Amino acid sequence: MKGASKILRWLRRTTKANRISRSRIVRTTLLGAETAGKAVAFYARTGHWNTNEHNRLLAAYRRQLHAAVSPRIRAKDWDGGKNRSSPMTGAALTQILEPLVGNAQGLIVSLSHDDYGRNYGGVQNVIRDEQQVFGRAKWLYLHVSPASPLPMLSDPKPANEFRVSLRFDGNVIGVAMIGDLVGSLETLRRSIFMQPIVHHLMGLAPELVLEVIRATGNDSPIAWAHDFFSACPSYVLMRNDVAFCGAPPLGSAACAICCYGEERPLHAARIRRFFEAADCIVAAPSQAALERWRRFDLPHREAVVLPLARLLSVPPTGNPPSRDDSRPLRVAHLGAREFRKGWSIFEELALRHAGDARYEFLQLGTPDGPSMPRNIRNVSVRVDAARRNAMIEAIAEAQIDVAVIWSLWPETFCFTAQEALAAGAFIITNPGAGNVWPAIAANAPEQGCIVNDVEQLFAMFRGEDLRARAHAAPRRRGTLLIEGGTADWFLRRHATESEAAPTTAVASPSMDGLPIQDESVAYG
Amino acid sequence: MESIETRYGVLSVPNSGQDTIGRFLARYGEWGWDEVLFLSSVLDDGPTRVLDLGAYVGTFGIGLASAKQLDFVCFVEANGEISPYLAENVNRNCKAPSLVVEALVIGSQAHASEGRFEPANFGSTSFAGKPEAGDQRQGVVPLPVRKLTLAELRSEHGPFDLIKLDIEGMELDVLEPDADHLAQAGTTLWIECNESPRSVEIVRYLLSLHLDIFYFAFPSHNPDNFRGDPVPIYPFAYEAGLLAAPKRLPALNDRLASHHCILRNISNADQLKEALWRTPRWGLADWHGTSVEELAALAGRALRGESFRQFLGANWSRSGAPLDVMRGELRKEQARAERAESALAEASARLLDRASEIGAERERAERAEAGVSELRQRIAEAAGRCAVIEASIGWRAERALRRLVGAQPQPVKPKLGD
Repeated sequence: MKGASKILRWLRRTTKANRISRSRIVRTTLLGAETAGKAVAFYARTGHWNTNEHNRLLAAYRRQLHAAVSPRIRAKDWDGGKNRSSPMTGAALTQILEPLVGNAQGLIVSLSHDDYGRNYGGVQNVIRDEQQVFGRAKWLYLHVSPASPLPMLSDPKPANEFRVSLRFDGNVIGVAMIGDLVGSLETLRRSIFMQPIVHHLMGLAPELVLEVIRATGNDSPIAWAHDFFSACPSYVLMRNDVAFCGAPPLGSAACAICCYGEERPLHAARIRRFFEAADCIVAAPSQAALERWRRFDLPHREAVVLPLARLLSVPPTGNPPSRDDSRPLRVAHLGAREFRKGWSIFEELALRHAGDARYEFLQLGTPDGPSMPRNIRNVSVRVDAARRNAMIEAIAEAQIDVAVIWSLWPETFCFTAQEALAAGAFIITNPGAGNVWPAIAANAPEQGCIVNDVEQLFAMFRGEDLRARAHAAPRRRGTLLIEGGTADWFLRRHATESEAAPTTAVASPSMDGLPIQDESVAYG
Repeated sequence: MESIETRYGVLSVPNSGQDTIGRFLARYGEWGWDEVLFLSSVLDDGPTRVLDLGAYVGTFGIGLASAKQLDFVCFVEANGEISPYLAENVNRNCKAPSLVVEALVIGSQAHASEGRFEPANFGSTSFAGKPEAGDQRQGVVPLPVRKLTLAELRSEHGPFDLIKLDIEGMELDVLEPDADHLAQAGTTLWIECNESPRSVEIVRYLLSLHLDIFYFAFPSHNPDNFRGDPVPIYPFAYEAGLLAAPKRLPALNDRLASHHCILRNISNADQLKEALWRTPRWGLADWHGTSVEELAALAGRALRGESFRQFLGANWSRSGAPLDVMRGELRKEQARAERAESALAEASARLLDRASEIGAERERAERAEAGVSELRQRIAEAAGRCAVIEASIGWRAERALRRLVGAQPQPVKPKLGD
């Protein structure tokens, strides 16, 4: 009672001193209660307290920005991925490899940032696929990855101090010093043709990769542009992991404020020296990726576009059989809850429409990552070697109407876009998402739309047209035919060269009536 | 930039490692020397003024000025990345008074907003508004600041006795507005002639002006090249051009004949098509330097898809299938693969439709299950309440009293959801 009378006295004093009417205090109190009530209701629906639409997205960017650190610092967290096995000797390695080469057509020496047999991801899938295609064509496949993976180039090291993990035709061989590997390859090349394929340089020292290439005796290595690591340790070219930067000139102000900026000059110089010395054939998964890669102006012998998969679809025959027009429109984020994949934008979209009966939000992908609002439902999907169509089937089964593929960097291929197309979902994307729109435009332009920015995206969902638009669009359905990475293209080309050997052939007519042809090696 | 010692003097070229003409200059010290010799033989001995359109690094104009005394050569190049090399080469080596103009020569048609070139051939830069089907030009160069018509060039720097055009698809567009002047046959034209429908259109246009036309083709490899290198980079690869309104009747001299150059009089479009058809454009390296009989043997085997590596080996048998038969087989295989792919796509689409139905059914089942479990829960709650009522003192007392008075107690029916 004492407390209540104290409060009343304080109220009286305050209202008198500040000339505030009691009714205003009551109104303010009620308003406060209403706001608090709304916040509680919002929390109940979403698990989030922040009801302010404007600073919520900013907060997500701020969190991402605060988490951004130099790759050199991040490298310390990667220590757990180290393969700590003792390295075998060079003689032991040669002894293992020599009997294996047997009557094979040739040996592929493939290099990438980690062991594709132990790790999961897009590049690893490509390597696994091409290893199998090469295997069917009686080509052997030696995969080399750093025994200590890193989120950046390895610092230059002597060849006898750099440990690599080796996998032969999919089976683990063990760990060896790269110097010993070079020695073994030099021995083996007397008895077998070798083709180096560099899938990724992350974690490797390009100077040592050059030594491996030289040891194969092949002067036409193939280097993949799976992403833009050639230009910056931030392989998706995102300044401080929050905004696409497009690889500004070295030493620019943008690099000075970026957590990757300090590493970039040396990184770029080492990569340039690598491309100058290696004279690579550059393979990109899409034309869009190749065009962007070409802006880095790195020397190369030639460039090819090798799409990682091909969409096989049938023309739409009408509405999908189970489409229920009375249910909410199902909107999905496909893949992991990663910032660069546009997760924060999707999350914000869902938060803005918490309680909106028109929409239902889902995430199709692994259930790990940051916690998500309650009004987003996770459908656990994991695409791996055994279940390559898992995402397509999950999209169909969850009856996804709209896939928001809002990548914040120019995707070089984007499997999820292809999967959404194959499953018949309508795709919404942005112009900066790389190969997403070209993939839609090439396969089913009526099955997607491009939205200029986030505000337009939010406006589209606020409006009433999306449902009609998504339902009106004819949807193709089909499957993805996984291509053999480098294998199909290389095997065709190698067969042509072999046909012409030992004499040299010329290729199809091209400039000024002259065919494109290399002086020493013929190809078609 | 790279400097190369050549037949024309020291030439600067952009990148001899990748660019076709650069590679020829680096290896043979020349490019298109037979073309220069042929053109010098059809010009008058008097004062001669030459316009070199699409001059690239200047091998044609500089070469012609060294093979024949010229009064003036005007070099025009539209690619701003190449013109500095051209200017340097002309200043250093051209034996005739000369001028280098960086400009795009235009006609009446719309030109492209930028030039496009094949990555390994800077000389292929084209500003044509309508690229042909299968155009492989991917590199991009900006438009030059100056744009001139043929008439403007003539009034500024002409008249010209010879105009050479190597302007990658814009020839007809540039020539057409100048028809009145060209019809007077006062200017000899030398026009690049590729295997393209455009070449036929050009011939039809020149024939409509009643000009004498000749087709001249020469091997890209000159056996008497500056460096004496006998091995061609591109065996049997010929370059060709159309000569219109020559001052002298063209003929192959001994040297050009020994190089197997081709000269034809063209009086209709079909003759040009036949001449192009009979001009080799590529060949296998082991065809080089062979006799007609050997060439027939090697080409026949290539046509049948036979290779020397497998010839008379353990698994060799005469295939007897010419390449077109094998192509037919391949087409059948392709058709089979396409049918299989479309069947796969249809099956996948059906599978996905069923997956959607399963998903929808599963949701309905889940909703129904949720309803059933809610009902079960309510029933359990109601049963619990009944048990409580039945166990209550009031209920037991009432039941006893009712028994006494002979009345049957009416059980309370609890409402679901109470």
